[in-house]
Amino acid sequence: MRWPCSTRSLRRTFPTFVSYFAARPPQAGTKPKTMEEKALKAELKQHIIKYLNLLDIKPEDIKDDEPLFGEALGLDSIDALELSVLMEREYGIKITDPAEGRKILYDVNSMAAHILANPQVV
Amino acid sequence: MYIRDLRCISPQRTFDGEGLFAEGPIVHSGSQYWAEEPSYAGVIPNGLLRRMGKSVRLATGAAMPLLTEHAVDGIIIGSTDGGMEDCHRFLNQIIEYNEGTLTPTTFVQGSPSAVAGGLALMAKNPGYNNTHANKGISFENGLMDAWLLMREGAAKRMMVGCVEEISPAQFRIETLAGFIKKDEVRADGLYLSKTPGAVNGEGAAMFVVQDVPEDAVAEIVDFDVISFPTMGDLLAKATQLLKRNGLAYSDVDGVMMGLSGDAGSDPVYHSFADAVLPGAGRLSFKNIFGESPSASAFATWYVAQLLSGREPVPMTVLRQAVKPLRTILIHNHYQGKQHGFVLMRGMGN
Amino acid sequence: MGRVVVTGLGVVSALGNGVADNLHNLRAGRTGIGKAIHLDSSFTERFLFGEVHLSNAELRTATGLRDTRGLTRTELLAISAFNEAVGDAAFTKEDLSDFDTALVSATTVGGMVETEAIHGDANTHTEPSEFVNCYRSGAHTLELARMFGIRGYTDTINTACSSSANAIMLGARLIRAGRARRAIVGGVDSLSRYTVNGFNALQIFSDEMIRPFDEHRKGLNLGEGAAYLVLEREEDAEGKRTYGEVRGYGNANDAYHPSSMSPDAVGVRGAISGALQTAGLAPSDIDHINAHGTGTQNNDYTELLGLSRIFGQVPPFVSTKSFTGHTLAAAGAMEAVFSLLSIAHGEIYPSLNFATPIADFGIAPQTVYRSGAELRHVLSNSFGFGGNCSSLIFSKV
Repeated sequence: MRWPCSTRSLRRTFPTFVSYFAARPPQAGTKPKTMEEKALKAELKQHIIKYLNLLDIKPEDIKDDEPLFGEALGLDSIDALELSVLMEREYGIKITDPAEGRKILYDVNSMAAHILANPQVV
Repeated sequence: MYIRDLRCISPQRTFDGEGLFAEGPIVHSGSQYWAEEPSYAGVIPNGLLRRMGKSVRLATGAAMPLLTEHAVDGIIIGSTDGGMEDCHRFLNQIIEYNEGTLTPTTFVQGSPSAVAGGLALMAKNPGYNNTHANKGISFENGLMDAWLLMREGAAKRMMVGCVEEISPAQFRIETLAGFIKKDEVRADGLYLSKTPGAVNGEGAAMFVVQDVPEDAVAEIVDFDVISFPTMGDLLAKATQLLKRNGLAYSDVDGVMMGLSGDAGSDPVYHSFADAVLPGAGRLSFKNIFGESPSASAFATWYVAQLLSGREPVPMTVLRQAVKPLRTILIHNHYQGKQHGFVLMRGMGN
Repeated sequence: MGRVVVTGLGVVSALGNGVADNLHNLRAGRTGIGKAIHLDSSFTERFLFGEVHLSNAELRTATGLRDTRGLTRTELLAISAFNEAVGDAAFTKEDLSDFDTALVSATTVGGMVETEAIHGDANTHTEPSEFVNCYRSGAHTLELARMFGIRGYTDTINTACSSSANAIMLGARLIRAGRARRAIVGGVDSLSRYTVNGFNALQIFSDEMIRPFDEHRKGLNLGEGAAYLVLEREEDAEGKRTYGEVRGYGNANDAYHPSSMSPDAVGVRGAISGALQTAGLAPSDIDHINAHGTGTQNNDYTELLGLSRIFGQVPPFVSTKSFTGHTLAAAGAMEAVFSLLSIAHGEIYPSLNFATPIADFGIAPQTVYRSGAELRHVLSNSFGFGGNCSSLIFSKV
């Protein structure tokens, strides 16, 4: 498989992160929010590269506030669907409304914000 | 119809057109002859390469240099399996995720038509576009399509080509069905094999064909196909093909045979040649390229090389031709069910 | 070279097995789309389908074949429609096996309809399933050739949803060039977990009945079936009943995106203009259009844009996919059959489920059945993934 992204493999790859969400929703004050966000965004970038099979693009090439569907990455509508699958398989978030999807998948910041606002048991 | 230019990625070093002849063939072993792929840097942008399964990549790698150099009126591809590996990836997802949310890329890219569509997209070619997915005669089908367009005056120059990949899933299916050799045989001993099954090859052979002889490499005189023929049918088809081009069997200098190493379905080639082409030279190609539904495209690439002056690779010469090779008949069948003929002639005879 | 005429039709769809049942339901405005009962997929609970109302067992019986082992649903559907078409054209065994009889078929899913079998054969089986030789493209064509003794030119086209339009086109061109005297052309696709999941992944299913060309359309309903046409040289068809002629055809590529259509309808306009050109007709000669009309946002908008640009005043158009669902590789041939029935009977079948015109165009499809229409030239559109756009023009003879 090109994308071995089942939750099983995710647990193997990111045990701490997943168990963090699986065990309890994030609570303000228990952990600095900025750290959480930072780790999440770094992980998101790795997932984006893996799901979209972006060649020659490293996580640090993707900026947090750069529109994913702009010039830089050259993504299109099929990629948007792939990113929806990413959100569901990795974070248990279903995106059904395309208009809502466009907002959530705007950039890494918006994806991370949506995940943090909608903690799911993976 | 004339071949103006051609490119091939195959289990041999054919990409630059030189390696196979200059350095000699790679003698494969076993039942999978994997493609010798070139670097795609500068040929395929990474933004597109990232979505490509092997078939699309092989086809694009062989076709894009041609499409960059020659303006064509359209693109015709023959491919039975297309992105079969992607196809099975999608199938596996259906089972693994129990019809849940699935990634669509493999579904879109797994279709044989993704090759011709992708080439049109990359080359920005809004012209005629078609995909023939007809098992062992897909290449002959593509030739017919291009020939018709030229005859209709609808095209002057076309891209016609074929691509097949060895996908693990299809390989297992073909093995289960008994079409793949189970014993380990070296390519130089393939035709001594007494066992059933063929050796599997992969790659892409792309041709720019045109309706005028200027600057051509070789001529594709004519072609024909038949399913489930008796020997009588086969002879009648071949006779009809030569006759409508004002030729006789004595005009054929060599026959390129689709011998695949399958003890069950190989004898028909020699029976056919014994019956009508006893004096012609006999050549093979699947002991260097392997078997695939699009094998005759590789035969056509190879014959075009021979007709433009290259010496045949020794392991493909089964019987020396008496006359110089100017007119060659390719006779190929796939699993004994579909037979195809492609009649080719060198330029300047 | 004289004209290429249509002397036989065969169809199996959600509207019924055979031309008569299909015609009856088209006239009555009765859709075949509903809840699927034979398709083995969890999506039957969420979406509607244009399913052929016969189980595989019933199809086996209907074909009258003694040995149906190893025949997939795709092949059974193809055999049904093929058999009807060649019977309709009164073909003899000799006609079928003549070197000058061509067979050009089309499919996308083919034998992959047998999801469980193919998955098993590819992964776990130690003994092949009965369908082991059926999965690859072209398998059903080979089966038709074997069963009906076809010895002439055979071909299988796969250009996604425009496949069988291209098969019809190729058949007509083979006859015009003298490479065949007659051609049996068409296509088949069956509902399968493979295609259902693929279209779901692309999020282009409607969760209600398909509404072609409606402002509030939500996507497509998938269908299944097979359709074949018998094409002959006019001089060979003397004394035979003919439904019309294959007058024009055009094929162009959108060269825009792997799975959606260009905003300025490049491929759509290219295909229609090509068809008008080979037919030697002006846009004003077209009396009726059987549109591709899948009911997706993208297709219906782009198709109307292309039609508006070429025709100005668009002739009465319908989407018969509102009856059959989108039958993929069978769609072009199925809609060709319906177009020819329209010509032969002088009638237009309604386009169903339409209420509100698309705002940018303000034009509506024909929504009521109309008889007594003198239809000289009918355009039929088929557009597919990979930018493959094809149009056919059928004319009265």
